[in-house]
Amino acid sequence: MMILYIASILAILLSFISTYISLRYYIKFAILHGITGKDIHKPNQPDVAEMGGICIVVSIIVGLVFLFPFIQENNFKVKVLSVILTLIIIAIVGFIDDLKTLSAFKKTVLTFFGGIPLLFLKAYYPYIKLPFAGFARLHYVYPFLIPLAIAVTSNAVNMMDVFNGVMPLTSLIVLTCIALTAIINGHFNELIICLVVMASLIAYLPYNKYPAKVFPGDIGSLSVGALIGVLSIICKAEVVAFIAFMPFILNGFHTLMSIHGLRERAEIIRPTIINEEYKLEINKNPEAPIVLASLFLINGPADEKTLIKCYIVIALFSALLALLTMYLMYMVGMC
Amino acid sequence: MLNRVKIVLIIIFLNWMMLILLFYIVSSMIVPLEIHGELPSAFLTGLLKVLIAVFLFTLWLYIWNLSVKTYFMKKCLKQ
Repeated sequence: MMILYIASILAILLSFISTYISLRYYIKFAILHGITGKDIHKPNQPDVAEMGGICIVVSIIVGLVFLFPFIQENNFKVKVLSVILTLIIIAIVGFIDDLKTLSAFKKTVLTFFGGIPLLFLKAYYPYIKLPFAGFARLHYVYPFLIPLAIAVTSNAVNMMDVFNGVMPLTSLIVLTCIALTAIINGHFNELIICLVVMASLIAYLPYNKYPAKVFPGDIGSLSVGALIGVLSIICKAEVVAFIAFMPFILNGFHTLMSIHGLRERAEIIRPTIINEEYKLEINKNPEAPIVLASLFLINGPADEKTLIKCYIVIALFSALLALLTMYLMYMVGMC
Repeated sequence: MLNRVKIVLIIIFLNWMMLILLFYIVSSMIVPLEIHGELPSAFLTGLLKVLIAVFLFTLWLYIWNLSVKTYFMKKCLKQ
């Protein structure tokens, strides 16, 4: 057991260090080879390295593969393996999407496949802990909900990745809630996986924060979203994660409702426009979707930095509500 | 900045309250639901429970969407 804990600490450090160091070299490589995207919210629209999510994905896999030989418990091995396989599947989808833009429908359908490792390896318990009710057994329904959960979380995080640093910061807030639930539920093995993921995102943050030196690309945002879905399932934090995830749902759901279905980013009218002072304001086109940024901008134009702060405040508030829900569940002896 | 996030905070808080209420309805009325005689198998009873829960959840999403849309349109029309 002691060896496992030491290996876990090393895996967390490995995930952090490999993300931090690999990104430094990746940014130079990406700029040299033209793997760049324009930061449209800045004056002069500078070129920024794209697809930095590759470093996050590789570092998390490296950390988990390092941990694997030290695990003795079969159940834990299965969970680690299912996280690695899900990550690989979704990363491939994101990678293809970054290289050759997939249609919104194809991308959404492909992300459903991310749930297959969890299903085939049976890395889940078919019940959900609900506030007031305790355990609700869902033997027949739960397996169908797994691919849906992975598709929803991965695409919602992808839709939230619009401003510098928003994706890693808001994801870290949701992952903190999942980690706290894992601690309270006594799922310490699953907590290790969660910490490996969080370590990689913390190392990624200095490169993506305002002004960003690298963008995660679809490979990064889809993978991080899928990991949130997988971790909420294996840590038995479905309800808490769902509430902490509410800003993502609000953003994604209203986009889908306003554009009446799945559409590729290029097909959607931009919800915000940039004025001469390089401030963002609402696009008054009635066909423009309502996103979180539209609600923040309803009282007038704002710069990117202010909007980033708004996203963080909303994510923290939802996390607070998630923790309050966890407390409610704990109070009635359900945790 | 607080002025910008205020309304979103209220929307999220109201929806969280509705979600908690939904959980309460599910746990106190739908989970203990037992149908004798009418439905022969536990599978069908389970299916019925899930369908009711899905309906309530969809209703929650609908109210959420409606509240955001109404607020947004009202504010836009004022401007």
